[in-house]
Amino acid sequence: MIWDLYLVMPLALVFIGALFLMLFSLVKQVELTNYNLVTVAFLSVSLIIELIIFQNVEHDYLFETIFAKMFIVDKLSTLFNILFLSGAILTLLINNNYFKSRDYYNGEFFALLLFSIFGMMMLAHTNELITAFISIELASITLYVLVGYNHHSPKSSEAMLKYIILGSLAGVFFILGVALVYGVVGSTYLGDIYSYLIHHQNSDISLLVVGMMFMMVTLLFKIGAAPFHSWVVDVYIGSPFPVTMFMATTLKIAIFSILLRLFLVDFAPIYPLILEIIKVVAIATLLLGSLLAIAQTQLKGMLAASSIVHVGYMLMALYAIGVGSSFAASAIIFYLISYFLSALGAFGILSFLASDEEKRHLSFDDFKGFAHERPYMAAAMTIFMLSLAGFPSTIGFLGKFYIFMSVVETGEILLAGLGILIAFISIYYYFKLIALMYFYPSPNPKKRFPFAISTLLIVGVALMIVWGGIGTGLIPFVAGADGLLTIASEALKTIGK
Amino acid sequence: MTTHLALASSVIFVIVLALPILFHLTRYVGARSDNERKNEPYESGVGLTHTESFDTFNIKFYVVGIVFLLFDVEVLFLFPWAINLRDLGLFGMVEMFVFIGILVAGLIYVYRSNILKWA
Repeated sequence: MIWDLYLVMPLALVFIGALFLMLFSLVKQVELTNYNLVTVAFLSVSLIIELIIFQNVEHDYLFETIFAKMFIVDKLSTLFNILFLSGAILTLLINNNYFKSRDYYNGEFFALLLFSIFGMMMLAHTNELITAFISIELASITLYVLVGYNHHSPKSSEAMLKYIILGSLAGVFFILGVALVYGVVGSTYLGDIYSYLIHHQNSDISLLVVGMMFMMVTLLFKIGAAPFHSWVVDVYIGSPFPVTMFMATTLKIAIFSILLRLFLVDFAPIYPLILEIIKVVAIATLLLGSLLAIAQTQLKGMLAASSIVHVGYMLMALYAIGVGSSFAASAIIFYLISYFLSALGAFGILSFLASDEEKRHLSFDDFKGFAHERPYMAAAMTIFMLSLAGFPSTIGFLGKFYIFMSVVETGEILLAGLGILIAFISIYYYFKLIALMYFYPSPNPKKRFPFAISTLLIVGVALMIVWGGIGTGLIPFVAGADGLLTIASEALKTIGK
Repeated sequence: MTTHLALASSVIFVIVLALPILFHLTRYVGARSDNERKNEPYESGVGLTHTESFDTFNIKFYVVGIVFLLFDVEVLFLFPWAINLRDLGLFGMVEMFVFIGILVAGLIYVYRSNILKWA
C-alpha cells in the first residue's frame, strides 16, 4: 500500500515545489531566471516520474485506505498530467525573455503557477465531484491572481475583475449541480453515480440530468464555449503573455480531462439525453468564435478568439462521443495536443517580440514585412498559423482530420461539413498574418537570429508540428501522429469500467 | 427522452437569457429606496468608523482579516479530526501533520513578508 504512494509523487513534488518557491520568494536578492529554473527543475522531475508511471500503470489505483477513493490513478490521468507538465515547462522556458523584460515578476508568480498546475493535476486524478470542484477552483483562483499580475496596468486589472466575477459565478453552478446529483444518488463518487444509473434505469432521473447540465455549464464556461465565451477575448488580451499561453493551452486540457472522464464513463448512460444541446453549443461556438476572430485587430485577440473556434471543433467530437463514435475521445486528446503545440508556439513568438520595449500591443500592422526582418521567426510563425488553420503536413491538419472523421463516422455529415466550412473561414484570419509578413517591405533592416532558450524552443516546437504532420511516414520506428493516437486510445481503455 | 432534453435546455436558457434579463429588469421594475443608511457599508451594527469611502485606512486590516479567516477555518478541520483520531490511526495523524505543515509554511510566508508588523 505504502509503495503505491509513488504514484502520487508527481503531485507531491509540484506541491512541495510551490511551497518552496513561496518561501524562497521572500529572499529578495535572487534573480528571476533562477526562480524560473527552480520551477522548471521541479516540473521536470515530476514529468520524468510521470513518464515512468505512464509506462507501468496497467489498471486503475483507487487508494481506498489513504484518500478514501477520492483519487484515481490510471493511464488517462497520467497522460493528462504529462501534458500539463510539459505545457507548463514549455510556457516557462519560452517566456524566459519576457519575464526579464518586465519588472513586476517575482518568485510568487512561479509559486502561483505551480499551485495552478497542482489543481489541474488533481482535476485529472479526481474520482469524486467535490474534489473536482475544489481542483477547478484551485486552478482558477490562482489564475485570477495571475491574470491581474501586472497590477499597474488598468487593462490587466479590468481583465482580472471580469474573470473573477464571471468565473466565480460560473463555478457556483458546478457545486449546485453536485448538490442535485447528490440528492438523487446519495453519493458524490463517480463510480456510485455510474452504478446508480445502471441499476435504476426505470426510475426518475430528471434531477440528475439537471444537475449534470449545471456542471456542464461551468465546464463550458471554463473552456470558453458559446454562449459563455464573452470573457475570453477581454481576459486573454488583458493578461500577461505567459498567463495567456498557460490559459489557452494547459487550462483547456485540464477541463477536457474532467469532461472526458465524466461523459465517457460516469454520466455515459444519460449523456445521450442532452446531446442536442452539445451539438447546438458546438455550432454556436464555431460560428461566434469565427465572427469574433475576424473582427480582431490585435494579434493576441485573434489568437484568443480562434481558441474559441478550436474549442468548437473539440465539442463536435464530444458530441460524436455521445452518438457512439469509437475514436472521438482519442481524437479530442490528439486535437488537444496539436492545438497546444500550435498555440504555444504562436503565443511564444508574440511574447518574444513583446519583450522588446517598443512593441507592447502587437497589432496586425506590426507584422508588416516581418519575414524580411526575421526570416526564421516568420517561418516558424507561418508553420504555427498553417497548423492552427489545419493545413496538410502539419499536426493541426491531422487533428482536424481525426475530429471530422469521428463526426462523419456517426453519420453527421452536415455537422462535419460545417466544421470544414469554419476551417475555410479560419484561413482568412490566419493567412492575413502570413500575407502581411511576406508581401510587404520591411521598415527595419534584417536582424540576426537571436540564439536564446526561448527562440530555440520556438523553432523546436515548429519542427515538432511538422514532424507530427509528416514524420510518421519517414521515420517508421519513432512515435509520430499515429503513435500519439495509439497512446491516447490506450489511455482511454483503462478508464472503461 | 424529450422531457429530459427540455429540462436540460431550460438550465442553459435560464442561465444565459433569463438571469441577465432579470438583473436588467430590477433596474426598471420594483421599488428603489435611496437613503443615507442604505448606502453605508454594514459593519456588524456598529456605527461607521470611516465616514467616507475615500478615507484612507491601512491596507493591513484587510490582509490580516484574510489571514485570520484562513487560520480560523483551519481549526474547523481540527475538531472532527481530534474526535476521530483513534479510528483514523497513524495515517490520520500523519495526514493532519501534513495539513498543519502546509499551513505553517503559509504562516512563515505571512510572517516573513512583514504583514504582521504594525509599525
